[in-house]
Amino acid sequence: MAPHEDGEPSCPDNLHDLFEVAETLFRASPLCSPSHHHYPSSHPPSPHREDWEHQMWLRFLHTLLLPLLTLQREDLPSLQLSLDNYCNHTISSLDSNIAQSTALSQQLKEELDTVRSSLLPIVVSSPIHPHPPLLLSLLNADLKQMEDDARSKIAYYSRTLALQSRLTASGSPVMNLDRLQADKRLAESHLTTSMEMKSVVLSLTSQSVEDHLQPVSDDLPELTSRYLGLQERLGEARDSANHWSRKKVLALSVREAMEQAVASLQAGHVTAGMDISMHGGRSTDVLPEASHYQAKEEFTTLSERVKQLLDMAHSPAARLHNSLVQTVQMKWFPAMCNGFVVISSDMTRTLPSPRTRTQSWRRHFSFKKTRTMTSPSSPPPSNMAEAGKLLHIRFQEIVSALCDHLADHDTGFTQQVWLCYENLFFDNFSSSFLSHYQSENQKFCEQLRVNALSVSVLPPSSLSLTTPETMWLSLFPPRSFGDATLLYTQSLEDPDVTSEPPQLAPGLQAKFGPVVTDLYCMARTRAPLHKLQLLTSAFRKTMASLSALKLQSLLEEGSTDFHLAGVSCDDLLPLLVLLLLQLPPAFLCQLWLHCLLLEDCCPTFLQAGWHGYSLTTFRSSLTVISEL
Amino acid sequence: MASRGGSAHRANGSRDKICHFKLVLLGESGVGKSCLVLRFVKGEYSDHLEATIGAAFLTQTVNLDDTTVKFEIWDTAGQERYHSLAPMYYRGAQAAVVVYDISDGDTFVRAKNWVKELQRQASPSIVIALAGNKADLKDIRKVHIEDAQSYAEDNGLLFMETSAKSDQNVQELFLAIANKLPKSASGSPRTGTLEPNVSDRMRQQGNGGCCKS
Repeated sequence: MAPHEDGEPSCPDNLHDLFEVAETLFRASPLCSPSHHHYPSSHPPSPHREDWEHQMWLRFLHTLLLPLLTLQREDLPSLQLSLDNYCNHTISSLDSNIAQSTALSQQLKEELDTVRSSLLPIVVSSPIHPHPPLLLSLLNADLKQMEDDARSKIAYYSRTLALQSRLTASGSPVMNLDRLQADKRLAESHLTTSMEMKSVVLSLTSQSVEDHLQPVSDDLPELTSRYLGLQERLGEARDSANHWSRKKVLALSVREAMEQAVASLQAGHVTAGMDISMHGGRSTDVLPEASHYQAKEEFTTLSERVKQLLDMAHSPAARLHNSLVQTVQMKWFPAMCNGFVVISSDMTRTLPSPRTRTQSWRRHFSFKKTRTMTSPSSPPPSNMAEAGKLLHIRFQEIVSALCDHLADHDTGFTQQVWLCYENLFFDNFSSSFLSHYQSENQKFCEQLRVNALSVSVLPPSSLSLTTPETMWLSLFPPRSFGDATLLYTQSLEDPDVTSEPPQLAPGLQAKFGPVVTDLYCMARTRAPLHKLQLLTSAFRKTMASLSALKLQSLLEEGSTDFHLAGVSCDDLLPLLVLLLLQLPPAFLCQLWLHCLLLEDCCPTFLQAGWHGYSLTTFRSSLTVISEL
Repeated sequence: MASRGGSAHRANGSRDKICHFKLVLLGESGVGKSCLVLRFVKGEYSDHLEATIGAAFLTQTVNLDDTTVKFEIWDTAGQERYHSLAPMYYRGAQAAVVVYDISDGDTFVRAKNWVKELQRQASPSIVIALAGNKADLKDIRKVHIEDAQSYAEDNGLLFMETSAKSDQNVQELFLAIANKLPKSASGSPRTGTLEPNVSDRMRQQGNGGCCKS
């Protein structure tokens, strides 16, 4: 499956796409290699970068797990087969790449060793050459690199050996254990050698130059040039070998983790787990043995913990503390997607510093999802849109319960938290979510088409106005029959009317242009809370404009009955209807779609107050239009 | 709408419970719904420029002995053609004020229809008040107070004749509603009952009590 234009992969439609999506996420994430992931340059630096990396990792796990949970039990064997085929193919291709890059790097290393052995005596005997300090520094860096590589290899072979041992024990050996152990021993000997050589070079740098006044060898320039060239090529070959090795570890981990998940689901369990660390290995390989214990935490338990965190926000200092929001966000993201969260014992530490916390999450976190996302008795969702909907219902239940009792204390903070989750959630599900409402929206659009003629020539008086009709007629003069028909026919057939904000007639644009702009922005934002905020803003601007108009009308009539200028619903609803009728019908269809989404997605604390009243009144206006 | 609980400090430092209630205004167009609510919220009849505020959505608090009731007042369009939209407005409301004009008999008939609809379709626990507005126009009265009183008693409604213009019974009407609304924490938090604030909640979890302030 091709990623979206902005580089974000969408949810897979079938099993084959799953692996491609996972691959895309893998390449874009720190799982691959620190130098390969594409952290958006416009984003702020660390610690936001770490949070971003953490989110990428969660999405990677999420992408692997979600399709599993949407499958029927009888489909699981075919997934297993598909998984086997994919992994076998991938692993064999990776093996070939690893072999090639390892051979190349071995060859280059031997050449470099030869050049180094020629170069070292010259450098040691000619420290007064203009470049010895540079050479010493290069050699020192080279040896340091050797040492780091050796340490990294030892760690890699240790992890892979642990993984392979388990696979071998379960009867599915993938790599030669003897070969791995030999490679590990070789890496250990490289470590020893590099440390010895490094100590020699370090001792040279500390010696007095005057003690080593000797002629410079003629071979030095050529040897230096060869040495530098080989060093660069070797670095590239090693990077390549490491890259393929990391991918192989990841592929093996994915295979093992998914096999476990499938087996668990086939055995009739309602949960499935995905245990892959940020480095592509299994948490059980990365964590020390003492930390392997995993405690189950149910939703409610987690919710209580998050409630406690949010309670802290009642203090002014905590309210300003962004990391609190981040902590809440990180805790809730898995909770909203999963019925069960499995957290290793290390995760029970309370509020460490942001950096430590992120690293802790990276290393120690694995999570499980319920197969049935609403209740144990409900069937698994049949498609991604349905799954997204169900996930959001669960998310909504939890956050709404939380926000309800916090709303009075700090609405701003509550909305901030809510927005965090919405951004996370709708980042993944916005398209599938909106599609959920398309069929209902279709009815509205059809009704609008049927009504188009009568609606377009509607005189203001037919809307039961309570204010003098002269005021309305000056704003909304009756349209000619032909123009209106043309307008509605064209607009309904143009699906892309929202590429720019719709324009009203000049007189109306001056008074209600900002209202239309807010509505246009509302239809283009992603998070429901943002939509609701814009809708409310549009509503309040409408009220303000109407009030000014009524006052002006009263003053022109010489009336001092100013209470008549108060804007009640009797005035507001007809005005909104008339105003919305000036907009292209396709745009009205979009507004209707978004109103449906908001009604479903907004928590109860947002269904009250200005937000709730604005949404209800806009929805009412659109209903009137569809029923005219 | 879910009602929410909280707490407020009184002048003497003791804590009050805060209840939030959604109240919907229903009635024929022109019976004075907006004036009534503006009088309640602003405390004066709107003969000034400042009155050119929105009366469609307003909030006002009423202090009871140990509770502060915060009303969120939703106005509705009274015209007949918008009647079908009313359920969207009274959904989740804990109180409704059905307003009629004592000088217009038709508005009383419409008011009775509203009451019937609320009893059939709104929340079963909704508190309904019937307000005979424009009581200052008693010289041209078309609806007898006894008829309205009798109707209200038969249907379990709060009833008062009010006048936004002369400020008759306006505060009293909303105070009576506030008193009649349930304030125990034993009910569902979504039906207009009280919830303790968070710190109270934490404390009470240990005590096993509910809704203490």
